[in-house]
Amino acid sequence: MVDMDPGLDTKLRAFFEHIEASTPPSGLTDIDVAAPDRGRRPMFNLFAGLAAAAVVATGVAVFAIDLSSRDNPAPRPAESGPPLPRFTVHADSRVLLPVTHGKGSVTLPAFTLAPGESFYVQVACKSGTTADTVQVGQNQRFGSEVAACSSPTGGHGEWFETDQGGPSGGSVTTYVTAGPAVSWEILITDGPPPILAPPGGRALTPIAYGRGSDSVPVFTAAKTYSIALDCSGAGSLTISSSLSQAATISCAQYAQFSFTPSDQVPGQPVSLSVVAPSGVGWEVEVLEDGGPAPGTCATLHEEGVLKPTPCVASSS
Amino acid sequence: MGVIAAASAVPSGESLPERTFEAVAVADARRLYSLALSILRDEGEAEDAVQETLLKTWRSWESVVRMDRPAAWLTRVCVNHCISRRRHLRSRGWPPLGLIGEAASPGDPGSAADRLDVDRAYRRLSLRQRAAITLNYRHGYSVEECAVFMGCRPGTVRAHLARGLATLRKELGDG
Repeated sequence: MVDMDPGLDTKLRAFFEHIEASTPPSGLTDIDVAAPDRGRRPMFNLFAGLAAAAVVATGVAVFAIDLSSRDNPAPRPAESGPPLPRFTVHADSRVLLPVTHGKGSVTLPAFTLAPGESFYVQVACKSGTTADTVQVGQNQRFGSEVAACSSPTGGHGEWFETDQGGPSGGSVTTYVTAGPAVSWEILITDGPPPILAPPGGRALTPIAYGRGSDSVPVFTAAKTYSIALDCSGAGSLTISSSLSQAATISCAQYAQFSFTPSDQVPGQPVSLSVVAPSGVGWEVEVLEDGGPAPGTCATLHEEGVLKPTPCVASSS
Repeated sequence: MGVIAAASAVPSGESLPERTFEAVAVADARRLYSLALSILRDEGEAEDAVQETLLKTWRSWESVVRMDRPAAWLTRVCVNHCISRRRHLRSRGWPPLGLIGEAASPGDPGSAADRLDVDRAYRRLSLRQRAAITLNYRHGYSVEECAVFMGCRPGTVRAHLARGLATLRKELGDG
């Protein structure tokens, strides 16, 4: 079971206990067992299928005629989209599907994933009708849903998808399902999801973003600092400071970890360098307070929290 | 509308006599309702999810009754319905009226206000993130079991857990 910090644990426990104390509706177990089972009515299904095929064919024909009379078919690039938030692409990410606006249900152009590569989906939606949602799925799999499109600020959601390309990589096709009046915007990138700072950590530097090997801007800490990092892509990443403390982590799927160098000298400038294959995207943030004990790494792999573990590699 | 009470006998004569539909499925309805309500945060949608699960169980009863762990099958069907079906959540993004009234009423206001905050933050999560947190954190299923219930790989469950909890921490200022 997921390991949780005490504050959130207390709140979530009370929240779930409140839900579980809800009284189910009196007719909860009333079901109509005599309702038609579609699987047992082949003739009906045949006629329904033929009718549906006719409707689809008509729709395709009308759509084709409509498309031929337009210069700008949907989905279209972002220039003239609805008033939705602009998504940011950081230096650790590669765009797999550029920002695309659309309305209603659409199949988006396919993109290709490298073996083991994951991707990050950002979606926003807007509509004037209550209860409108946007669903986004890939390769016939339901992915996730964005709700509250009709709220004053619109709806938005972002999530990380793993395993879609499989161990060999492969093509991924994205499907957007929404009502015809719902405007939406989507961006898909590779690279890791936003960094998770350890509980209690306070940012000392802006987040640094990179791909492959690079250095992080020099910083000076007045007191103890820790380093939070996340990465995704095929390969391992090694981060080391000018004071020689180093940690190595596998970025397959994605990984998040933090460590507190044991060889800190308050007030002395520190530079960090990252060594990784070019396909590995990473984010680094330096924090005061929080973080694991000096000389240890806290790694997020299994259960959604940062847990202290020995650093994979270290040098004195 | 037919009711389950009229269908309490197992449909197959080969089924185990002590395993009636009522004993296996109907008796589990309250647990399924809590599970669905935790994921969907909408009473009507949760009721629909449970009824769809019971209906599917009834139609597959000859198979279900032979399973070692029919409750696990029921869980999977219910979770799959919650996270896979196109739906319109009327109250998503806004707390239910009951919670608002509760938060505004005297008597343990801190706790009610906390729940309201958690509810707001929780509604920002995707359905899959909610399912992962509900199953793993609240119901104690392993990541591998969650993956079976949710029809995805363990790595995907871990990602949903991580992102869901990160959002909750951010929204609630717990990190």
